[in-house]
Amino acid sequence: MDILLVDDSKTMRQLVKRALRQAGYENLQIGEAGNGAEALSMVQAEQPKLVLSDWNMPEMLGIDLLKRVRGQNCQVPFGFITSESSEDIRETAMREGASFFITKPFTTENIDAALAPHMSK
Amino acid sequence: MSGPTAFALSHLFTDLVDRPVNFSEAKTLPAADAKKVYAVYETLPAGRPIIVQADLPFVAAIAGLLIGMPANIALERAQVEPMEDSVRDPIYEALNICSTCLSGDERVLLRMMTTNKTKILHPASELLKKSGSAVNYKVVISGKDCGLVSVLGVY
Repeated sequence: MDILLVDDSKTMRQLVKRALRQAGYENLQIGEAGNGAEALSMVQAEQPKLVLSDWNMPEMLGIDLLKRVRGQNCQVPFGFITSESSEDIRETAMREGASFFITKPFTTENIDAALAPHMSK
Repeated sequence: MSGPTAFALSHLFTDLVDRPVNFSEAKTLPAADAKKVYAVYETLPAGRPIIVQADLPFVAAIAGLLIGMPANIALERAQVEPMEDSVRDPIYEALNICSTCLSGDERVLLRMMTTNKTKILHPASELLKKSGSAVNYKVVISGKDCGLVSVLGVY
């Protein structure tokens, strides 16, 4: 798996996938998880090259997912796509080891700029 | 604290659906009342409520654009009680993303979405009783009138 998308909204996962295709990442294998627990097991089993996660999800917040992933000594590039836009949240994400932080609504250009250092097309 | 501007709302929804969405402040309200969707937000850490009251044709049109569904079909599905998930999810997402422009300097979280305003609890319900706390916007998407959006909050 190349990219694991984590969002409790199926619509948002579809929108991100569409943006990834439009940004030129159409040949990548993209997996989806609807919550943090599912994502955690997919990170372990499938070892994606990059994780793109929402922040506010029921059961496990995106930041807790990041902490759990890092707690397993997994250094996979991990970015957020979220409607959270405060500087505090962004700083928390980066302090915990996030690679990038995209605020919704995102554009194809935002996605491409964030992913380019971590993924080849 | 500052509320959203017509410019900020226009910019946000235009970016979201990649079509021209224009909000303009409405001083007078139309006589015909469309069915509404209510999104209830909470600012953090203050815990101050904000409500976005949107005409169903507007949110259905936005949902349709997000998922590639014609606006009339999206509206039909949005009018079903309970609302069909195929349009409920994109409407919820659009209103969730709307939280980013509701307050200039606070974190804002979407707490609930409903078409039944009697389900809105105190203290948010108080906003519905005070007409003075509302700013009303007429919304046009790609040149087509899609109704009204009102932002209710104490700014």
